[in-house]
Amino acid sequence: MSETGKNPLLPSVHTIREVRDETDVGDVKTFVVDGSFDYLPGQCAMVSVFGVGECMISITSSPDASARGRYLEFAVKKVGLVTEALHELEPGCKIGIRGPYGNHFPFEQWAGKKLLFIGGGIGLAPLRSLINHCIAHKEEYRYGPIEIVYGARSPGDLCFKDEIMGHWPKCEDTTVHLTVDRGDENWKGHVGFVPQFVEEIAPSPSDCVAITCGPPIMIKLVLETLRKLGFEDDQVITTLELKMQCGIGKCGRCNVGSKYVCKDGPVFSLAQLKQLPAEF
Amino acid sequence: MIAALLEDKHLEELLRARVRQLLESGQISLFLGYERQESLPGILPSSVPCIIRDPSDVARLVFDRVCHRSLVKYLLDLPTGGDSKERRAGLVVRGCDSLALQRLIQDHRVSREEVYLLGIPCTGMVDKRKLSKVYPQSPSVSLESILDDTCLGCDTHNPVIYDELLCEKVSEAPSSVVDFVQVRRLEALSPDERYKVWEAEFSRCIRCFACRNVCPACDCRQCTLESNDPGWITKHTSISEQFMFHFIRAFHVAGRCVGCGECERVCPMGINIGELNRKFMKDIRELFGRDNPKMPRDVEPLGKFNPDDPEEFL
Amino acid sequence: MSATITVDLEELETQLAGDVSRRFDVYVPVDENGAVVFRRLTTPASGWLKRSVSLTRSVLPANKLLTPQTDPVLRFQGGPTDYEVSDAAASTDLVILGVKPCDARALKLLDKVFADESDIDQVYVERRQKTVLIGVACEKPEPTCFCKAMGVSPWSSDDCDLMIYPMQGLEGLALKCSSDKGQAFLAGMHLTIRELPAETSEEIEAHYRAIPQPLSEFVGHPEALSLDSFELPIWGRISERCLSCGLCTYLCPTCYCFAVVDKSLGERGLRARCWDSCMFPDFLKMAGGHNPRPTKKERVRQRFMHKLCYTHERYGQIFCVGCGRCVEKCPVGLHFVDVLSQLRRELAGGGGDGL
Ligand SMILES: Cc1cc2nc3c(=O)[nH]c(=O)nc-3n(C[C@H](O)[C@H](O)[C@H](O)COP(=O)(O)OP(=O)(O)OC[C@H]3O[C@@H](n4cnc5c(N)ncnc54)[C@H](O)[C@@H]3O)c2cc1C
Ligand code: SF4
Ligand code: SF4
Ligand code: SF4
Ligand code: FES
Repeated sequence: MSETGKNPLLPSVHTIREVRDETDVGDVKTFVVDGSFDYLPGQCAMVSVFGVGECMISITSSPDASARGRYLEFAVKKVGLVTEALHELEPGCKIGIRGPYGNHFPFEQWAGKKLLFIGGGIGLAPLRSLINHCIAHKEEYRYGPIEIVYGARSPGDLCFKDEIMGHWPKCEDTTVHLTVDRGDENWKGHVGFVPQFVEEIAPSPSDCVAITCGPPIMIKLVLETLRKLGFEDDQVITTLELKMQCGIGKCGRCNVGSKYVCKDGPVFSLAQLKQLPAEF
Repeated sequence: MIAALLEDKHLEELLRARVRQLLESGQISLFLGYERQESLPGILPSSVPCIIRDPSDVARLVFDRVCHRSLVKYLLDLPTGGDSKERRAGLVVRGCDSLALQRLIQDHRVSREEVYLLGIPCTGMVDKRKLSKVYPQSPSVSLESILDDTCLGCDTHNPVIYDELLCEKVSEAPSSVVDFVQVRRLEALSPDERYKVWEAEFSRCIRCFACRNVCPACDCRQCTLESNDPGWITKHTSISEQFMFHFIRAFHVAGRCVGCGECERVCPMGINIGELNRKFMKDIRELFGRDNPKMPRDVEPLGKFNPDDPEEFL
Repeated sequence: MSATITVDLEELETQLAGDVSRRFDVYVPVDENGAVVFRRLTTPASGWLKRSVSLTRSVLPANKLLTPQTDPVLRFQGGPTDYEVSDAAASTDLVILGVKPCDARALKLLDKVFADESDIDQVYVERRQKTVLIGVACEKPEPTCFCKAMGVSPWSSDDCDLMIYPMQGLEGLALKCSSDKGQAFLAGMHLTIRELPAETSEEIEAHYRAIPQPLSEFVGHPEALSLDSFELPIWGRISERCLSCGLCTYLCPTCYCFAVVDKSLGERGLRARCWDSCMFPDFLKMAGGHNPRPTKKERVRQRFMHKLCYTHERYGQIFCVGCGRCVEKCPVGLHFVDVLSQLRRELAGGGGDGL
């Protein structure tokens, strides 16, 4: 039997403290679990339901908040076996967590820059950790104005409503632009797809870093839009999502060329992505 | 010397000429055949499946006694529907291939009109293990001594469906070698002894699924082995999972196996899974009175559910 | 490098089956229905050692004993609110006898994956440390062997702890220690050891050096591929005949992909690392159906680009040791040598043979 700490795939067992429904249809839930470890925005963890399996989920809580509160937050969209099983769980249930895995958003390198966050659907989960971290360290890193563009299919599909409509717009020098593909009777905001919305907002690329996360098709179109707006490849940061099993660059699952997304990613600049074979 | 035993140059010429015509006339858009692999020093000659789309490539086509693998399952890879013409495929069929193709046609995985069949009455392929013992040294070898056991026991040398035959039919000798000798031997064992035999065999299995992937009777769109819902089977290889895998495989080809022997031939671990298929064949012959259980019929003995069946499960 | 020695075959056999088997799990190759497989030495019939060292390359590489097909990670018990989880990763003191030099080299390559990077797999490392590799020089390579082309010599003791030279005409069994671990293991057996004169040692080496390996000459020394090869038309052409079975990867000593899979029986269950293969269609299929490698073209390309390009970029090595297993067993001859040779033709501008 190997000694504790040697088995790289052994998770620690955490208790769910709180479960929050994020969307009207109930396909996204945020799980708050007891206990934490050191991590940085953009990093992920393998979350598991014993007897069902594991899946890779971004840590959506910001390191600042969780370090203080000793908790971790995961926003999980129900799409398959493990995520469905997770959605069945209630506060008090135990799940396995191992991590943190992967690299983080290079927020240290953005000192003095304007930040443009572009998210779609559940893709806001990793950005949320980063946005809260950047807001908390805005002075330390002398960030310029922060702009957040976020969209979902419908108003009911917008996640983290407390933050996108409450906390963030109140923060200094921070603007939130919301959009939905289809509005409803109560929706007074913008209607339209995220990439077009970004084009309308037309942020200036000078001294700006754009960070985008969302469904593959949205990312693809957003990259196109940013290019049109004059953003250079190294000004654009995104994340890759590939099937994962180990999270530590050993199982051979998530390679794109010679890179393992779980270890060398999931965060890549567009310039880095262009060095890789297009197979993701 | 041995090379001459393996080849039939005349047949090959006929095949190439015919395929060229078919492609040039536009009657087919591609041809599934075999080509000789590049010869490697000291290594047995071998022919492998290939797809020919350009008439100028027909010279690659061969038909010899090392054309292992059935071509029919490649039809399932070809895009279908829409205005795709890929399925207007020509292919060579031997006796066993024609049974295999009938299987796919019956399962509505391929339609007869899509394919153009060049039939080849076949007198057997060689067994690579037997061949490797004599290759390339032995100056004189009889063909009989290196033929595959399945082929020696074959009772369907002539294709049962085809559009044209490339050569004369051969006489169908009744199967002599197979005759369920091994099956009878296994049947004679006590249940415990039999369990031991299969436990030893299945514990060697590495679940590469080569046996399933070559099998023309394994033609499901979604195989239960890849489904995690319901998860009949996982990637764990405990002995109970190994039994489960082999039961699922055997039951799913029961009454559907065409006896081509491919599963046994490709298994890297030398597992005699063919005995399970033959056991089912023997039972079908004895219990349902089918004299040729390999021959696909309209309704298979095990392919129809009877609501009055005394068995509750399945 | 220590000198070549000889020991008494029977004495070694008795030691291994006796005292050594009490201290270690001893694995040796045996012939099971024509398939050479490694089995735990339990109640061996006398003469087993001679039989084991004379067997040809095993179907599954010896090194897979360190990364078993189903490798327990953890056991759990209980319900959603009171799970008890226990570490199930285990390592034992292991002796693997009859390791071919190609498989021993494969472990050196796997070390780069599991033991050389920042996230070290301690379970693997521990197993590696606790394993004594007793190699055996290849008296009669298979026609499909081409290890020499891949920089492995079929008699080299470099990657093992002890090396057996089953050469005829010597008094006793010739052995060489090639690591401290091997030295200590040998000393622990208290055998009667006879040192061979330098010239006999040279004779032994000359004997093995002279054993031909025609396929190696054909293969030559392969160069790594550059990323440009990703776009070559060859991948579409050669992959058409692939059956998408995982045979080539499961038999390959340098393939190591795994999945993490749970299996539960009522209230208890096991999570394990289980072999998986990039040749399976659903290997990368994600929830929602997106599959970055949807056809055989992308999957076959991954297998060969991984071995010839990605591992070279990342670990500085081509991940093939020339064991020849895929050459022998791929049901449709889509193997390392065939692909390499077609790649060379394509890169030389020949464009392969049509299509
Ligand atoms: C770096 C990264 C961060 C992610 N962050 C989040 C997040 O914050 N919130 C969220 O809801 N989802 C996230 N995902 C996606 C999430 O991992 C998948 O939705 C999840 O694995 C699906 O598992 P399943 O068992 O429910 O689906 P099934 O389709 O039943 O999957 C079966 C197995 O396949 C694997 N798998 C299937 N799809 C994916 C996928 N897209 N990515 C990785 N593995 C997959 C898993 O190992 C899973 O156990 C992230 C993925 C990656 C790679
Ligand atoms: S081919 Fe052999 S080893 Fe592979 S899954 Fe079938 S029985 Fe098992
Ligand atoms: S290359 Fe050969 S062994 Fe590998 S998956 Fe394809 S058919 Fe199977
Ligand atoms: S690629 Fe083939 S020859 Fe090379 S190590 Fe793997 S199985 Fe052996
Ligand atoms: S998930 Fe295993 S290598 Fe990336």
